Amino acid sequence: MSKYDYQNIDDIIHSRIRLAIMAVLIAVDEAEFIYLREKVNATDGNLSVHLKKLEDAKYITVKKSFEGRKPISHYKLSSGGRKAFEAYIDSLEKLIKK
Amino acid sequence: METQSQAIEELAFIKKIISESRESFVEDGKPYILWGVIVALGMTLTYISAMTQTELYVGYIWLGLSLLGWATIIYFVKDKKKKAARTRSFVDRIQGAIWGACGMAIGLTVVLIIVRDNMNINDVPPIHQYYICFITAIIIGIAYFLSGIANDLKWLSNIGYGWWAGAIVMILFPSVHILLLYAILIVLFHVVPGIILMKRYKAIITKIAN
Repeated sequence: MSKYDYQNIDDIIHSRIRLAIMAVLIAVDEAEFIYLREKVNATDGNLSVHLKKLEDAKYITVKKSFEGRKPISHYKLSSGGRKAFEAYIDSLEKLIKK
Repeated sequence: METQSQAIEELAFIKKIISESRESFVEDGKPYILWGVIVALGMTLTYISAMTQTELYVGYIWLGLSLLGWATIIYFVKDKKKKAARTRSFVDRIQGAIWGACGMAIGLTVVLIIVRDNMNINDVPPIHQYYICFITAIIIGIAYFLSGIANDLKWLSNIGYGWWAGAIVMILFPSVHILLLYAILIVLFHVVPGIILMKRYKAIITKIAN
């Protein structure tokens, strides 16, 4: 397997929904759950599972707050997540150039 | 098995999402148009008052226009917050900081020069109110220049040069006519950019909705 083999790339990011979440969070500073749900076009349950995976990998951070009685979760890319995303893009570009 | 074409498709997918997410932060131009019309109106009335030597209660007109402007801006900000509460971008924050800081500088300039126009302090002569136009034109130029860079819009940055050119004319040829020049500048370099930004915003929103 070569160094830039596509099979070697980050499995955490290598999923359409998680990739979309990471891409949205790269573009914005911080996003709420509802915003992410609209952007990646996922169901609540599905999105929660993928967000949890990214959170467990420490690629994103979550901050919970209340607006009145309504709980709101704000998601943000961590510095590790940013690096992982950049490495992922790098892998794709290297594969294309190969 | 993954292929180069899949990698290309994946990169295109990422690019699309990033671009769509960034586009939702486009300026809608409303505050530009609002303040532009208010200041142009105030300046024109001040100019007419000065030229015809008639008392148009300019001070009260400015006070009324400013209150109207701030009330509307507060409404815009609240409305924007309601719509954009679900996300926040770095550019959005920078943009707010640029215009907030410049707005504060303009406010201080206007108030302090009006105060200093009537005072001799330590034998330093008063500052004429014409300087309000010159200094605020410089500040607005800075705001446009930085806003253009933050939003990656070169034409918006170039408007800064227009304001600075106007400021040079104001300082070199001080007369009552700079009030009229300021009114023209505000229409050309504030109201018109506002209209362009509004059209751009509507076009992007329509594109995203489709």
